[in-house]
Amino acid sequence: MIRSARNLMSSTARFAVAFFLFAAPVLAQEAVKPKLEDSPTGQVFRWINFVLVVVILLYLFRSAPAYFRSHAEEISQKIAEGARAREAAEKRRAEAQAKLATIDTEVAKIRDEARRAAALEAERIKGLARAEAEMIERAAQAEVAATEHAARLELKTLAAGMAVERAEALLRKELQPKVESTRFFEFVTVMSSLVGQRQAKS
Amino acid sequence: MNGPVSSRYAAALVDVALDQNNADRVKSDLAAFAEAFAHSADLRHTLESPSVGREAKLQVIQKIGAVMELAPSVRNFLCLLVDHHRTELLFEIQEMFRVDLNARQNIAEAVVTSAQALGADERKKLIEMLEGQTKKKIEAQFHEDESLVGGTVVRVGSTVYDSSVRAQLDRMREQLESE
Repeated sequence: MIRSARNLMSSTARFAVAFFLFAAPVLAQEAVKPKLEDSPTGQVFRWINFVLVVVILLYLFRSAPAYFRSHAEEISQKIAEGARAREAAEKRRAEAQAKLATIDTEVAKIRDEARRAAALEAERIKGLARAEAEMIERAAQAEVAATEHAARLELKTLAAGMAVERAEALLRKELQPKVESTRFFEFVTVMSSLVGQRQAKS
Repeated sequence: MNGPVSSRYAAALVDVALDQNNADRVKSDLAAFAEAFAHSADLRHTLESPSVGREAKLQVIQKIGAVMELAPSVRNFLCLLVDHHRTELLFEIQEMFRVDLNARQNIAEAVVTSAQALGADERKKLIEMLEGQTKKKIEAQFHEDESLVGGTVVRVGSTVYDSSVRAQLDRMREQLESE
């Protein structure tokens, strides 16, 4: 609106300046030579001046309605656009209000789902932990059993070694040369029969 | 393995030794030279290297033979091995010679290991028993081993007769551990 008013004022100012420029010589002649207007030349210029003014006025009367019409259309388009924008804003506001109206329900729903998911996850983690604990317990039991078995074997080996060492010490004391000689001849007797059997087989 | 080749060389040397009736000397001389051959890298290199000429190798054998007083048949046999490039078979031939000679002379070898040294009577009794039962002449080697604690271990061929206390203690230990 303000821009249209400015354009109108600018056009009016330009028309006034042009009118003054065309009319100035005639007015000057009237001031300097009042009698000249009655001469034929003066009459001609007065008529030319009149024609120019008429032409300009005709031009203005013909173009002004179109100019104002285009401005009016532009203004009405902008008013329509403003109305549409207002409608869209109203629609968005209505949607936002609708959403705000159901936001509590949505939040509650999301909270319930989160609670259910957390409960399921907690149950799953508990199950995993239980299985892991059982596995660790089984492994520990197996390890204990293996360690116990190894300890028993070690103990048995140790006991056997000690018994053999003790027996060896006693035998070293007991096996005097005379005893050894007796044992040797007994061995030769036994061996004789063994070699004989072997020879008989071969 | 060059078993058949070594066997032929060993049998030939046994033939010569028995013909000359000096099998024991040939056996001991061959064992002595084999021991020197095993312990001397220079001797092995000299006799096995293709870069050393035949004459040089034969001279080495003759000189060593003279120093060690090897029987002529043994020297000749070693020269033959050099000529035939078979010195690398010396140890195998020596072993087969011993086995072949023992077989032809009806000899059995016995290795006797005891915790305490055996007296002459004990040795005699053992050899008589073995010769009586095997019907072979027994060549026995006697060793002492205190770790046996007591008793005797006799190996005849591949058969072992073990009366050692060590063996009985080992069996006792195994039995105790397995219970």
